[in-house]
Amino acid sequence: MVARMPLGDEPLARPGSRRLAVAAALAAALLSVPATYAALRGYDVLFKSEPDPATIIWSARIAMFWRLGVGAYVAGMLALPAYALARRDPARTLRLLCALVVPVGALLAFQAALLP
Amino acid sequence: MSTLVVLRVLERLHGHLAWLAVAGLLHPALLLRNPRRRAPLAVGLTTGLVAVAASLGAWVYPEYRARLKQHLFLEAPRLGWMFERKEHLAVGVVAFALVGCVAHLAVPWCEPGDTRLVVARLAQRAFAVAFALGVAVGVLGVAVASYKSF
Repeated sequence: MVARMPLGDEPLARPGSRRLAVAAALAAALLSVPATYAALRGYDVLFKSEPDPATIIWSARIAMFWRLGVGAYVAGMLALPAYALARRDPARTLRLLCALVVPVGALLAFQAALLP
Repeated sequence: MSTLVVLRVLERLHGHLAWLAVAGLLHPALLLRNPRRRAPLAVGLTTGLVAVAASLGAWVYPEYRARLKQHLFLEAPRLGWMFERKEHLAVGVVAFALVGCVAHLAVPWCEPGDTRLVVARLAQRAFAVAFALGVAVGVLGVAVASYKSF
């Protein structure tokens, strides 16, 4: 017996668009990592009083890895809505991602230069 | 071999591989300016090299903090802050290289037309940003390593 799709339940998207949506979600998630990283480090420098690194002999907590961990968490949170958006309107989602590349790079560069 | 020698070798390996990766990033950044150009092998190899160099750096990083960081900040605080800048920018290099790789490998999944061009442009931009950040990371890394090392 051949399983047939009932009338009216045809997929809205063409084959391949799911893979494209996964790629878009992955790209969005990856882009969110440096953005989150820069935001966290900027917040630390501006609003938290940190000890002088010259006075620290050893510390169990590696702040860089911690920020990367939070970035990975945010990336995971963002991947699902990005996937849903890319399924609905891949062209718009990808245009948005394309437009975000340079600003995210600039954000990280400014944070590294001014708020190391 | 003592731990120090192993660390020294890993650090040198990390530095050389990282510069090779930066040189590799220039290739897709230039090549993919033509949105119809396909270069999955070059993109994959470059991104792999970036990932390997970054993984080595991340592996050595805890030892840098334990053995060198305080001395660096005591003796040359400006170089200490340079190293901090380098590690922040390195995060961007890895992320943007991966974005470029994902976007370039996704190009064949797009219908020919505007969307395909946008994905190709996304890949090129990501590699260009990764390269720009990578040059800064390389220069800062050499500046610090030439002053103090394991």
